[in-house]
Amino acid sequence: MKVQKDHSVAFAWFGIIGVAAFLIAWLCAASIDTAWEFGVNNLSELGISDTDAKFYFNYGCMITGALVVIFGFGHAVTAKNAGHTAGGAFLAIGGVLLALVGLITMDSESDLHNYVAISAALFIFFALIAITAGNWAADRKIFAGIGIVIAFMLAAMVFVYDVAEFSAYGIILGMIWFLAESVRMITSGKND
Amino acid sequence: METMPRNAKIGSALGFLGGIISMICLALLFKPEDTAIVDMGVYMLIAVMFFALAGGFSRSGQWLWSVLLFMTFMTIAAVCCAVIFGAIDLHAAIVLVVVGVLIVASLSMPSAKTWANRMRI
Repeated sequence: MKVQKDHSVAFAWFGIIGVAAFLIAWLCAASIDTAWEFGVNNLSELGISDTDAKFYFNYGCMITGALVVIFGFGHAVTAKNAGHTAGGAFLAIGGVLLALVGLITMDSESDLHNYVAISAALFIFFALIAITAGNWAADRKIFAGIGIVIAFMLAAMVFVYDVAEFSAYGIILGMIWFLAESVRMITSGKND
Repeated sequence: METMPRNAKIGSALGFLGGIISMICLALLFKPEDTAIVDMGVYMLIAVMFFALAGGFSRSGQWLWSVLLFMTFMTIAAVCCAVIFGAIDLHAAIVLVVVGVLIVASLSMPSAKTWANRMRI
């Protein structure tokens, strides 16, 4: 039987491509700047590296941010309920802020970079909670469960890890959630 | 009287298994020191959560299917958070998370869902 899909399938691919783009940029930047260590150095330090790693990281953030904006917009327009609509809006704002992380690097004189990075993380966390609630209400409970576990893990990390560890492990968990949510959108039928 | 479906039996057995593993870890970790109380308490909490899941599958279970599934995810989240806080052993946590995921898989079966929603007091 042929299952008719809605536009959420097309938008879901932006989430997968966004994760792939950020992962490639991160791996390239980390392999070029050998002084950067996972969990020891802050992720934003790649953006002010003396090597070409800064181009990979900063452009990677901008490209991923743009893809997250489209992913969030897709979430909002193909929403099944209020949770998805709110989560999509939060994701779009988080995507804009993520792109700004690549533009406003750590070496700027003010603390603007830190504010933008923390705001991006917070908006994406709010989106995680809203979309998880939306998935539970839409009877996509397994995908909601993945969101529940990741939300609790991120909350626990805030209390235990320092900024360098939290940014590294938190982004990995965030990428796992983006992939799970993209799969949820791809597997959603038109009448789900 | 309706017989308990096999998936529900497996889910209940896995709940007991998770609880027993937690209790074994608790016994292995036992130290007559004040500082060990927190870590032992975390194992105790996880054991209680797994035993509660096992009870949720029973004929007079306390939860509907959706609540049982939610509590399973909460149990997995509790194990993951305990690892992050360094309160439990990583190898034990991996086994417990696998047990939790298997409980989710057993709950996903239609017969277990029907059983959990029908068999209430």
